[in-house]
Amino acid sequence: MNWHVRVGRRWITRVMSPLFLTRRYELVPTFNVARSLKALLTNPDGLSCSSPQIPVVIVTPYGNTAKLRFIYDTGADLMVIPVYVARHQGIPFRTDYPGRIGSSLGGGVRCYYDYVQVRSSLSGKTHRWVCAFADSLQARLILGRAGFHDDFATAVEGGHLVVRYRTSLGGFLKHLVTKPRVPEKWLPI
Amino acid sequence: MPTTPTRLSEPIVLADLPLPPDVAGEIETYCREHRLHGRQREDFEEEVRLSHFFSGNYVVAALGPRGLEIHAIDSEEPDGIYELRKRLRAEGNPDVISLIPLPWKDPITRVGYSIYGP
Repeated sequence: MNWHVRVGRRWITRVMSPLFLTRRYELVPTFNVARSLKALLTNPDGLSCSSPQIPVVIVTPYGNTAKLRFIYDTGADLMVIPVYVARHQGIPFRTDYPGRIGSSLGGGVRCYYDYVQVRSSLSGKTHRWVCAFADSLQARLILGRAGFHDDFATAVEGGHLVVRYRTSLGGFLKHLVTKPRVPEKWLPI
Repeated sequence: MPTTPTRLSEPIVLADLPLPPDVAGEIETYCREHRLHGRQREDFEEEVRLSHFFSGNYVVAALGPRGLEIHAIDSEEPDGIYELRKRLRAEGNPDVISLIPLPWKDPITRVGYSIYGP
């Protein structure tokens, strides 16, 4: 954010530090307990590999919303919602843009690409992101890079996933006085 | 672990589900080693319970005074979630969240969760 200040007959530009709204999500504990890995580590608990998970509000028709918790996966190109979840939650999607969604080790399932609208209490905006609706019972709720990384910044710090949104002074002050009703781990971005 | 779609007539309070002694012991050890107390310990326990009882299932839960209350498991009824939200909102609890918990102990190395095969 830049300020323009007049000093005498000259205008001076002063750069103000950017303001960010932040939400922190504790990583969800998961352990890889492959037998050989436990033997390698000489640890019966296996390898700690906690996963970042984020609640997200999707806008459904007629002004309704659905709150879903996604696994945040920087290896995923875009958001993934299983078809059966979309149908249950009333999240509409078109079947005009079919494709395939696969894992990095091969294999894949049919999917349909469409847009979803994400309402964010952090930004105070409704974002429009591309989503793949995966036609598989094995698919999970995934938050990938496209869309999300355009609008928010993320970092993993001290056992938390930190999501940041750059805002104005007004937005920052407004956010300060808003008291959340639910524990932070269930607060959507 | 439920295998058939279920919409529960009475919600399950997650905190009331009894954990097997070995899992309860693992929680105890983990919390002691990582010095988890109070809210942090409750959050950890909640995640382990979610995972232990419902990993791989599609769960619809509400945030009640005692933590998560499970209202539907693997339900595919399209009208179910709408009715549930309407009822909970009328009862003064608008916070409904849907999730598919991951196993907290997994012997397979994952390199992405888009498709989560066995």
